[in-house]
Amino acid sequence: MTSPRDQTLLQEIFENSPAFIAVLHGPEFIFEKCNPKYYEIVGHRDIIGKKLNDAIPEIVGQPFIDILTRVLETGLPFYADEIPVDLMRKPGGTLETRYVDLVYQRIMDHEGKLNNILAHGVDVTDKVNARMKQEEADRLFRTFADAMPHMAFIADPVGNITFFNKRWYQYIDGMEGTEGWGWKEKPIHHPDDLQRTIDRWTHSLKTGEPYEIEYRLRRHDGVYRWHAGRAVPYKNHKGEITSWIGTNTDIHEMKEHEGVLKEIQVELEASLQARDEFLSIASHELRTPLTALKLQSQSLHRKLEKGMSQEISMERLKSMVGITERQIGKLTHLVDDMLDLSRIQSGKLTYKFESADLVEILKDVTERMEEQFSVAGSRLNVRLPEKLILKLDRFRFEQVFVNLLTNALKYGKGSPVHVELSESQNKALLSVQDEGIGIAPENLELIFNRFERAVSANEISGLGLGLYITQQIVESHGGKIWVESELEKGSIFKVELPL
Amino acid sequence: MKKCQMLIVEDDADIREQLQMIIEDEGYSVHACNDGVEALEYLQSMNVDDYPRCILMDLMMPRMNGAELYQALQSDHGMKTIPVVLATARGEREKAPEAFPPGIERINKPMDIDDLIKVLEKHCR
Repeated sequence: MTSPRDQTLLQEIFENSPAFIAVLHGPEFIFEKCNPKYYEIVGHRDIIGKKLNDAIPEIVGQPFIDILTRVLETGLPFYADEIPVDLMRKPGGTLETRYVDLVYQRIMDHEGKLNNILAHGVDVTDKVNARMKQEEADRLFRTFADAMPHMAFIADPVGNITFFNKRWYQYIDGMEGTEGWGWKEKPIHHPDDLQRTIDRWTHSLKTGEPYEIEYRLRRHDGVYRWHAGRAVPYKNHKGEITSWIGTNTDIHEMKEHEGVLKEIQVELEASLQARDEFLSIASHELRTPLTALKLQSQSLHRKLEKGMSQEISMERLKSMVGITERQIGKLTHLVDDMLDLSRIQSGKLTYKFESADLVEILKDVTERMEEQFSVAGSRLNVRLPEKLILKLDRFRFEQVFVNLLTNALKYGKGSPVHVELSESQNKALLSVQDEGIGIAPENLELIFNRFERAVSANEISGLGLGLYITQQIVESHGGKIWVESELEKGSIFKVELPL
Repeated sequence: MKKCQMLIVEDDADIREQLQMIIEDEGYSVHACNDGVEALEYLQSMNVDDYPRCILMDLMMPRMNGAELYQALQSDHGMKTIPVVLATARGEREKAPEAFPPGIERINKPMDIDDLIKVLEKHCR
């Protein structure tokens, strides 16, 4: 028996409990006792002394009466969490689903018989609703994340990835839902990008600064593609970072274009620089003959002014005419080269092919250049066959020979120059050899480019166009030109032409 | 060795010849070299007292260009006292600014005979 004090205490608990409590009597479950919380959940209906299905008629059709009957018959208590129950919260109102944690247990009635049920529990509807709302939001987020073409992820504050969207799994091995993949254990970053990625990510985690990076990620087929990685911190109401939300966007095509653009830019800059250098060399080269001609005319003018024209000796006059002719020849050659360059570049260099004897052309050229060779102190050794008839542009081939011989003179530094023409296997082979400064191996290809020369423009005059033009002419005749050379030993230029 | 009043360093033979004739016509003695190496050898072969009164030099030359020759002259106690005049094309000034002091004397190329005579009168008279 309980003392009156215990009785009062129990009564207090019964009245003030946050749980709803009711005592039901007998197989018809007549309400004997309810606490205020119970009244609240059933909408403050008058239920004491009434049968359960009369007091709360909406209970019919729900499983509770069956459960109560079983508990009363067997004595086994019934426990349920978050069980839904449809109740009318106001008389005449609509049914409302509440979720309750519920216990039914058999207890003794006032006669000491096990004929009563103690029904008690807690209304957890708000908690369940909140959770369902959260689950709904999660589902919405996942659907959203999976719909993105980007690879999205969520990480915890220390950087462990807690969520990857479907696109990730598609990217890494083409199968959906590869579980347990973690970037730290099995990074898919390009080895050259990995350390940078770790550093940047660690920095963001430490400082809370947004994470931004470009790196290559390995696709399931082994191909690395450029991605832009971004992540921003997600903060709770206290301003603490609770997670990081990130995406990876495929920027591979953009990056590739960027690379191509950069290459074009580099090429463009190089060609602009070559052009500027060419202009500077060209103006210098043009100035030299102009200086000679200007000085000549001014000194003559001065003599005339002073009335000293009679004093000009025959010898001096001869020298003056020689200078004039040489310098005019230089100017003509420079202008011709520049014109040829412009013709080649616009594809307007045309050829007049005719049957001609290469031997005859070579003889002409070497004769014409004899004086230059003797001035330079170079001996010219020529070995030619009797005749070698070819279809070619005579004028352009004279130019080829002049260019090759001029180079041999310029770079031969007074050494003997050997010219040889021969015929074998339906091909004509011309070689022009000097024993001069030679060409470094790294420059062998370069020297056929326009504006290029193997030595600095300070040391050797000329536009740097000769070999470029020569190569264009030779190739237009179906032939090829190349050079064999050794530094300080000299160079040998070879031209091969189909017969 | 014959004493000369002006030393010319110029790699174009025709220009060299003409400058020589013009300078001699004006009544000055002159010596001409093809490049910096020749010019240095020439100066090294003579006494300090016999140094030319002035050097007129081109910039672009084989073997040793104008800038290199100027550096070599400046590093010699005696030779650095010889006034240097550069024969430069417009635009070449920017190409080797560090090699020469900013106030160095220049005459433009294509050369004007009056400029040349002014240089002669200033340094060699």
